[in-house]
Amino acid sequence: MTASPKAITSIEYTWARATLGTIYPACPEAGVTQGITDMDLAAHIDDMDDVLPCLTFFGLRMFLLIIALSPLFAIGKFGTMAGLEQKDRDAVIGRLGHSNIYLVRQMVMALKATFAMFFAGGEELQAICRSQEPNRAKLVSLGRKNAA
Amino acid sequence: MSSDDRVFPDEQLPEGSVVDGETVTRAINETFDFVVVGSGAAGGTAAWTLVQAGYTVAIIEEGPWVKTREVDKRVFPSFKRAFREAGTQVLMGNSIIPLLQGRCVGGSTLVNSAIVWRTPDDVLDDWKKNWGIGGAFSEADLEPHFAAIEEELKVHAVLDEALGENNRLFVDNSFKGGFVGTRMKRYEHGCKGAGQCLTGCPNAAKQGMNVSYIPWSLRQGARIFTSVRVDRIDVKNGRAVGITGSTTATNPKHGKKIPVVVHARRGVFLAASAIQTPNILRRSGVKNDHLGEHFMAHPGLGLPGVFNQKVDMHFGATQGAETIDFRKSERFKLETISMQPELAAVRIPGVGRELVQRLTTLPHAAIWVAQIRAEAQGRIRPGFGGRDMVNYSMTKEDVGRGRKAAALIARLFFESGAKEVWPGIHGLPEIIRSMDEVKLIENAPLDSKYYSFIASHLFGAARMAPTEREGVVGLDFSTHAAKGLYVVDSSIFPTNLGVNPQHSIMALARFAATRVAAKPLEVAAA
Ligand SMILES: Cc1cc2nc3c(=O)[nH]c(=O)nc-3n(C[C@H](O)[C@H](O)[C@H](O)COP(=O)(O)OP(=O)(O)OC[C@H]3O[C@@H](n4cnc5c(N)ncnc54)[C@H](O)[C@@H]3O)c2cc1C
Ligand code: SF4
Repeated sequence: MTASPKAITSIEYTWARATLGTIYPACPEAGVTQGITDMDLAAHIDDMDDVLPCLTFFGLRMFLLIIALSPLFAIGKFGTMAGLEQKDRDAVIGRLGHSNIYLVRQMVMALKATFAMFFAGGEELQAICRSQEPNRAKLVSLGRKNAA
Repeated sequence: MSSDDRVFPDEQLPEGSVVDGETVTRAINETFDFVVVGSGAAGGTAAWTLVQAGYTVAIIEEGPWVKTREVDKRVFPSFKRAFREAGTQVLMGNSIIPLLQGRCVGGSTLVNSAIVWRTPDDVLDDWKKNWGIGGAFSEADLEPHFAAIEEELKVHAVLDEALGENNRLFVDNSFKGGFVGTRMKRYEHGCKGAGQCLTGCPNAAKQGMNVSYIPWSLRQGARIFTSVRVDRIDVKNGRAVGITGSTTATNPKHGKKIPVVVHARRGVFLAASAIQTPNILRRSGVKNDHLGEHFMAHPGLGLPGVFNQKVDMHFGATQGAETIDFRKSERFKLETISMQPELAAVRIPGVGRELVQRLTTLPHAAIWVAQIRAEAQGRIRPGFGGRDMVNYSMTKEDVGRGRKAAALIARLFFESGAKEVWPGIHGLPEIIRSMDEVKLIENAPLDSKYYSFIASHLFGAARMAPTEREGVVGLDFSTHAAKGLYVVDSSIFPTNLGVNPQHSIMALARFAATRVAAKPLEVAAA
């Protein structure tokens, strides 16, 4: 575990890792060996604290708190996200993300969107998504058909 | 930092022409003929027009100057520097709609796709007939301004070498959807198809204001104050006489922001965008029943389609193909868009390993979007801590247009050979795999909470009208409340357009600045 961020308490960070690690885990079979919790998440959270308006950052903290405390409501299990086994964490996030209550599923969406900027910027995913130089010769010849 | 030895247009600027609010240590108090607030499409154009007419001009910009050499293709570093609130603003209403705006030198033109559309005739006719602003400008008045901007900013259709597969698929297959898809025209010179317009162009190919009108103005004597936020326009005896603001950074010595006062001998051009301008007017004491009202947008809805073959969105003009065939009949416009994985992730279904696995399939995905000419009207008010609060709820009819466009896109994807479409509509399967399933989209609920709209085309909230009773800004572009306070961004538009707004904004700003520049001096009150 990387050092705790300055912007949130260590218990919040434990919850953040449990929740965000469930949204963005490693997926070695797809070539992504680093999940979000293997990256410098603490530094990123501090960075977000620096640049986001305090109300927005506070909102994200609240979402992490509510989700951390939601297992009872989501899957009927006592405890926080951090205390659950991974399969139960998956079930909590899956349930909340598909909730029929708009604000509940928006919490997961907000975390997914804001932390995508960090996770998907990781080297492995960037390399996969930008791996091959496209075949420009083919693109040009096909494109000519419709040249303006 | 790039080791590139090219000299970009935003480099080697005249000494003293850029005053950086992040590093100044002393209060600023200066005088110019004109002050321009905002350096985006409207402000950049107004400044360049005034400078060419021989006036001294100060441009005040809240954001920093993100130089071409510093452009970072990673999304977060770029968003935190170039976007307002690092891209986390939202429109709040029935649903939460993310709102994107640039906050940097060049404004949204640094982060946009540079798509060019002249104001459609039917919109100008409507403004004339139904909104009483025919006396302000006609189609013929705007024509030379459009033409001049197109020449200066090198407008042309996307070339073969920068087209890319995402755009080509759309153009080549559009006939299967029963419409004509064409290559976009863009402000661009030497696009290398880097597909990263949304984080800034690393080649200075995209002709945003940051590499065109702003540096050109500085080379002809203008000055820009960056990272300086205008708090209010100063009005004396009914005339705008300057601005008061402060640096956005604090001075490390005393921990305070540094005051900035810039006097304007002839007038102030307010070009802070459709969201910020109404609140600046409010802070400046302008009172009008229409101020902050009638805000409009083009909410956008994007769908990824996944192909067997590689699409490689990271190569090709970020947005390079479109159709306006449905603009009048259905009130939407279809476009392609390439998204970096950090931005596309939010439109990828699921969470956990499934999501990460799908992220790795992005090289096979294309993304096509609909921009809806929504009828909904919202309201802009000051928010907590100097932020802007926008209340906006799409109507059921607007959502219906989005739904229809989404179904059309999904159908076109399958016609084009896609094996999957990710509709991103709550309650529907995360992935649809056949034409038959498009029906599910057609029958999705008409509630914006079920969809993932996003807004970046913004209008209204300080609308132009002949009288103070009907609007905030008069036919001479000056507010009814204060003379010499010219508003030249899309907050004056009585309606949205149904096409991308930058060109309309620039032509109107150029027209307004040309007219004001030709006016004899009415000396500002001492
Ligand atoms: C991601 C994205 C893609 C887009 N793509 C296209 C496209 O391809 N084609 C198109 O036509 N349109 C596009 N648009 C929309 C287009 O960019 C905008 O409509 C246009 O730039 C608006 O011009 P503006 O001058 O009103 O505002 P902006 O260009 O946003 O500039 C306003 C400037 O004012 C500054 N400002 C605000 N408040 C203050 C203050 N208090 N003090 C000092 N400065 C202040 C801001 O920081 C900003 O830099 C896109 C927008 C976005 C966000
Ligand atoms: S596609 Fe790339 S090279 Fe072309 S204008 Fe956009 S960022 Fe620049």
